[in-house]
Amino acid sequence: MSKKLQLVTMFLAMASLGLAQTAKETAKDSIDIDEGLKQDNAAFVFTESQLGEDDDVTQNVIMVNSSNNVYTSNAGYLFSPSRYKYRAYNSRYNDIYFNGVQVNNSENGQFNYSTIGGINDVTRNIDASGVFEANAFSMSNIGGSSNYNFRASAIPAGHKVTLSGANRNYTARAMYTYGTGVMKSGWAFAGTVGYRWANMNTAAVEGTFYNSLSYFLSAEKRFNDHHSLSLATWGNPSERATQGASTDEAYWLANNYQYNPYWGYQDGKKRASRVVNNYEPTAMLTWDFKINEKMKLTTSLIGKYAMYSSTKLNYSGTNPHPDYWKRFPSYNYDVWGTSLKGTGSLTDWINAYNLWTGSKAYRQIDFDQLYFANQQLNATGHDAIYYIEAKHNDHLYFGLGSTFEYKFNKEHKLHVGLQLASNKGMHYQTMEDLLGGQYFHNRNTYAEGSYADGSDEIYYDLRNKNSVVREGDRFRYDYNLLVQKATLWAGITRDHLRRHSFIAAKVGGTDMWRDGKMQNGICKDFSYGKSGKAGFLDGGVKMGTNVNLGRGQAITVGVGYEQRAPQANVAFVSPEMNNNFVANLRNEEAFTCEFGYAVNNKWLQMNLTGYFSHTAKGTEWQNFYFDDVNSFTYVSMTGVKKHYYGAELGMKFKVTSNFNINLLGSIAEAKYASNTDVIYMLSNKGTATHDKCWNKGMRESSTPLAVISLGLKYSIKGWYFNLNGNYYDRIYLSYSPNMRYQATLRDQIDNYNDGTMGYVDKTAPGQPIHPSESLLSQAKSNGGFMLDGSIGHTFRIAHKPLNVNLMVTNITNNRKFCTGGYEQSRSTNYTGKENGSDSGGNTVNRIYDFKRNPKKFYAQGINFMLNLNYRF
Amino acid sequence: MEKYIKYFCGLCLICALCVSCQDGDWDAPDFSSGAPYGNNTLTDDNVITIAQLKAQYPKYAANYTVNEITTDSKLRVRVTGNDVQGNLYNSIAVQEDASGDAMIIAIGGSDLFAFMPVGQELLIDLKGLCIGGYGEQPQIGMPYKKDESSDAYVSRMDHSIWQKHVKLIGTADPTKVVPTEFTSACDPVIDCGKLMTIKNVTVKGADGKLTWAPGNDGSVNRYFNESPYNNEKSYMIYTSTYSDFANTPVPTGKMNITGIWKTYNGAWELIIRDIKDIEVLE
Repeated sequence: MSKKLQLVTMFLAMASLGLAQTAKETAKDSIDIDEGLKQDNAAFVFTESQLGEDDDVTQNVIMVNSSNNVYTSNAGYLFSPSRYKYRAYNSRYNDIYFNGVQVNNSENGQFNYSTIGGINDVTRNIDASGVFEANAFSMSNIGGSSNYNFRASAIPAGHKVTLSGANRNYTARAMYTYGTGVMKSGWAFAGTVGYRWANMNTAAVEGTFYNSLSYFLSAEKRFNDHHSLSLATWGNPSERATQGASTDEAYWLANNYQYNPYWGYQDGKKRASRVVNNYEPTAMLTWDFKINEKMKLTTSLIGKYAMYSSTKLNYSGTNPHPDYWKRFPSYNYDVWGTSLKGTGSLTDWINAYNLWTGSKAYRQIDFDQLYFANQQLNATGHDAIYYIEAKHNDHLYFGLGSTFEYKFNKEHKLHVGLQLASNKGMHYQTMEDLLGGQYFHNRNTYAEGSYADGSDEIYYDLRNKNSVVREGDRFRYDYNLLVQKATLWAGITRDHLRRHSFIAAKVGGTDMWRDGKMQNGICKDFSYGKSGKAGFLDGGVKMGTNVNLGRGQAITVGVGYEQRAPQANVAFVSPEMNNNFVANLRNEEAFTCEFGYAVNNKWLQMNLTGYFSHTAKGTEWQNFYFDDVNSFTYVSMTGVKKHYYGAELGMKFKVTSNFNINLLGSIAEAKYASNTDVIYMLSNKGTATHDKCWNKGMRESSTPLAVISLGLKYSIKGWYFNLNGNYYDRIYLSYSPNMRYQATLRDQIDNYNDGTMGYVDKTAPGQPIHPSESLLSQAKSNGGFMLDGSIGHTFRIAHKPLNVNLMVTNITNNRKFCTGGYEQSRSTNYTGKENGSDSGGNTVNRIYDFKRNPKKFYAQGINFMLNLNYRF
Repeated sequence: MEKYIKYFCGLCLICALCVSCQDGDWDAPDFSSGAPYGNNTLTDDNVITIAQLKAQYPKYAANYTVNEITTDSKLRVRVTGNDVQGNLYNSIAVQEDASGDAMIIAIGGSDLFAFMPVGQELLIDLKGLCIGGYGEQPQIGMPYKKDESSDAYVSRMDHSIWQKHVKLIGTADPTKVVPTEFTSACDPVIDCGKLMTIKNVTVKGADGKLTWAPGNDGSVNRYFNESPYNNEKSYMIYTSTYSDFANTPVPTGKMNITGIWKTYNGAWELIIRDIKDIEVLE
């Protein structure tokens, strides 16, 4: 953190030199409270402490917007408490640009909104483009595209102070923004600084905290009518503790739907085990060249160094987390009556129940015991077995975006653009805290036992076999992923009679490779140094038209097809171990089409849209602990086919000049269209295992696939009132691939052997399996209703506007609304050998039923945010 | 104007300097008032010997027999074996300093070695625990049934229960754990559970490639070449396929092997605690 402060201070000191010029003060009063509510709500959502399905996923959200579509322009912020994803797309299908240069992460394609959190006054200037809306900066992605304007001249002139209080992720927020507007000298300066804060005692979720400074500084010089240069720099050094999902049993025992297993007590003080540190200092230079009245060229060069780390309590022995399955009452006694192992011990169930409910400390991590264990171990010559490690994903990114606009005539406009990107992703793990231990060796504890003591295979880095890992040292894995991309695109729009049409196309190339910094003993010949280089040529075409039918009615039609290079983060079988690319790594194909009907008259604005998207040849990747084989595993799924389709309705009734009724609804489907080939590698072996994953029909997770909202908006004499009732349904939890491996399913069918799990057709060649629906079914939330409201008013103090607004979310305090989660990756019954089993090992049957115990997140109960901002 | 710019820059710097890390360095907890493991309220009274305990419960080694200890009594013993390399599973071996008598304590949980290293002295509150035989090896634990219809026997107790019944005394002193020599004169009834060393032995089939416990069948038995230990029904080396040294080759030459000697229905089973328990002589 201190390193970040030095960097921040340096940036600010440099910027102050540039700002030390006189400028004419101008004032502009253009507050839109309603828009402010959207922004603030969005800022809350996109800095959620709840991460996605696994620790490698950043906030997978799409903040898609549109100036023309009632549904699209409102859904993102309105449904944000349910972690709504637009059309259930992964956020890599949504492109984000800053001043015309693309800034999605080069490795996973996603954009992390938290990196621009706290600079809300800057991020209001968005040119948002729907899926089939032409724009001046790109061929829009299948999840839409947005271009943020970070020029100083776009920030309203004057001062603005914002103070906020909330009982959400953060408790307090303060922001100050100053803009000069464009002065006579042609200069414009703007800056904003913000701070968001919560500590362990004030954050809404116990055991979390929030500590984030944000800054943005921009200078722009308009040299003449043709040229202007803009320089902007911003950053957001943040640290925040995260919340973990848990099972319904844990929530019940803790009597708290916000129970968080990721913190504990150390010497009587609360300590978080998972802390994210993130800072992406960024600088961007933009040259706007107005060649003549018809031609314009915009070019931006961006550079950033992103530092991201996420800590985790890890262990090389027993899982010390309080919600480890063996600590639950249901580990001891079969509450479902379906266990193959018998009912178990009710006495032990009661004992565990009493422990869970009798002591809060028992429900949290016992750091004191972990320290004690490590101290005991070191005293007797052993490595520490409990420690806090940090996963680092750092990036050095340079991008260039250049767009040329040519207006042929009143009807035709041409845009041609070039995007170049180079990214070096640095991925490694460090030892953050040995928890009282003195040392640790960089050995693969999963492989110990599978290989002879002292053999090469048990070392993570053969080049430093006997090195001792101390706090701050890198261990386990260390590699770089390098990606270089170039994309050329063009689009033509035509406004002719009653038709507005566009066609856009793009072509691009992507190179990627890995550079290993450790020689992993299991993969000693293909882990250190550079891998081969994989190259992909991709591209696509998209077209759409909007036909005005008269009387305020219009229809829109769009269709597009593209091939997308695979993302580097899924291109390697086990990037933490070796250089091997996934077999059959190919471009993903994406087809999408849309049909819409719109009405826009004095009293009604309405959009009804139907869409269909099909993606094929996709690649997905996961890593997790695979309990059935007692090893960490890396899973690649190739040939992924998905279908996305649905209908969206947005209606805005203008009942009177100051009273609107909004109705929004969507019913969507987003699922795998076929089963998938899977290859997985175990961390205790160097070999890849091929299997088939029965994931056909699995839905995209942690987003509602059905939503409906009724909203009332009323304004009078400077007062604004909003009330929205939202109902969310069809929320699926992230499915576990390894529970649907063909081999796993065959085990389940064999173990039960009563037809309840399906059957094996022993008469057919290869004896194919026919799993039952219950065996394949995906865990699901029951959905829920939330009532959200806001009230705002503009006061005048010293002739300047003071805006006050209060947002209250989940007014009915519905705490039983599950917003997402994931299935556990363990089998209740499997054919394997359990260590120390009395029978010497055969089929392993457990009383605890993992399928009935997915990990879930629940919505926060009633919560509020009070905002005051004053412009002067 | 300049005033505002100065204010703005000043504010930025103040904010930058005021932001301090919330997840800072943590000091190690203070354990001077007792270990954060076990039950520190236990007092050193009503201490009995292992021999007295056995005398109180004559069926202490009987299979499928659960003897609940109802008297207010405690044992004071020292840890001689644990799960340091995953071979002694879900249990620890303890002995009395004075008598050398041994007992197995069955505890559900791994990493027991982290809390109870070899040499750690323990005070165990016996009241409420059970004693009985598993393969005629006496052990202290809690009742367990394989299924609804089978008889109960003493097996591992929940780790949370164990922590209510144990107190760690002082710090571990491994120098006080000295193995005795195992000979054919040792009696499985009297000496079972003890830490002992068998000397000058070789293992059948050892060829430099044979490993201690290959595969995934749960466990593998190895046998001695030398008489009288070459009687495979009476003497074996039991190794878990999940132990850290399962795939380490068995030395081909003469060895002194130290370990916990348990009985299994009258036969001897040698449980090697750690690969360091093997002393290769040639």
